[in-house]
Amino acid sequence: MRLIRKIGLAATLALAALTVHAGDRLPATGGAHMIEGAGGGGIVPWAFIAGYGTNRQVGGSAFFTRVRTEDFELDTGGVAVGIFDRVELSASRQKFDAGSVIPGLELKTDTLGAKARVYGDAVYDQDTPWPQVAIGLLHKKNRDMTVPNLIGAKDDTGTDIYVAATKVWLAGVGGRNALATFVLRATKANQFGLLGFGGDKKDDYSVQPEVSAAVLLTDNLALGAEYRWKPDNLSAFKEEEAGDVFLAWFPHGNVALTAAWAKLGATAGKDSQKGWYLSLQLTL
Amino acid sequence: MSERLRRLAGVGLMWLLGACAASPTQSPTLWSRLGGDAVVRRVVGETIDRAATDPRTKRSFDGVKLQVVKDKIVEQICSLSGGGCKYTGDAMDKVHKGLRNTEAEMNLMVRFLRDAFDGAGVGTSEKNELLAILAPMKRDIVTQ
Repeated sequence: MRLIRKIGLAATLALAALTVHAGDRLPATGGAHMIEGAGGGGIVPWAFIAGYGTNRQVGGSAFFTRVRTEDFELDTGGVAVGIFDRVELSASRQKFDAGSVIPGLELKTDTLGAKARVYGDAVYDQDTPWPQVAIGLLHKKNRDMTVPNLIGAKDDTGTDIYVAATKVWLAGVGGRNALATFVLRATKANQFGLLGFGGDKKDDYSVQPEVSAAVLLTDNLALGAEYRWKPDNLSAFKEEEAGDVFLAWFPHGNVALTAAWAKLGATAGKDSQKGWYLSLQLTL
Repeated sequence: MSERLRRLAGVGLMWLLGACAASPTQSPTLWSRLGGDAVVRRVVGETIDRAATDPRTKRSFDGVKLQVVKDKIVEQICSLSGGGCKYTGDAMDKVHKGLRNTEAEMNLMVRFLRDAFDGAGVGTSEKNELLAILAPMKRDIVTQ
């Protein structure tokens, strides 16, 4: 915990120092922040490196997101630093209010992320079919395993490993710029790690696909959708795919607001959760 | 009745197809949709003037004859967007040789160009289609 706080503080200081000179990547190409802290959409990481730093600049971003469904509320916030448009480091915390299952129950995870861009230039490579590709890790620790253990979760820590491919098509859809991301993620997480890792039904890594696509209606307004498959490791609490339809607005180069309608499926013993997703992000 | 309608529809379709074959409608070129010489010249002029004065990009234009740069860019855009011009300037890598242009400078130029197109009232589609054609030039322009 202390480590995360330290990293968070360091990242905040780095961001503060950067206000002197923000990055010069094109607006909106920093994307938003997914709930696990990595640069991307809302629930799917993208191959972009967070922040607006170019190959010779350091950028970064900070975000706060709230998801509210019929029975739950998820708050998540964090920071990320993008180094030379090559490496992204992120630290975030997830807090899940599950008082509807057990009064007063709060499930929390701390997540450290690292992502490296390994191939391509999603925006400028317009004459090739190849995407920008990044590989990433999300190392998560559940802070209170009492309830997850009771329902059969095996571990309090887990590391997701993913490959993300993102492609931008300028004038791709009806003259609008379009973007798509495909991700393969190896994971043992139950509900993003909020219910621990591995379970009575399955205690191995499984590889899950994720997709995200968006159209830029204008240079600062993106309309998109995402879908993410997840493992179903616990026999007590069925877990299903999650999806959302989002509208991301970049009113100013350094500010992004995302609103989404999300469908989380069966979650922690409650059926088909649907609700709203709101996210505010500052990007440098 | 429905049989007759179907036959009528068939005849109508053939007539339409025949009409299309007889006088193929030419879709306007990107160059003309951008607004042709007048609009592109104005947009390029504004972009280069801004780049030559903005402290973040001006170094590449020091001691350069701006009018020549503008003329060559207009000519190049005309050539690439179906305007029928022949680009008589040097290749992009040669033009930018030794300038050691950065990604930041490249992105700023794109922003200036987008702003100028928006200011000139050029449509989103036309702007994006041209940017898609120009984007791969980054490989020849950015060298560090």
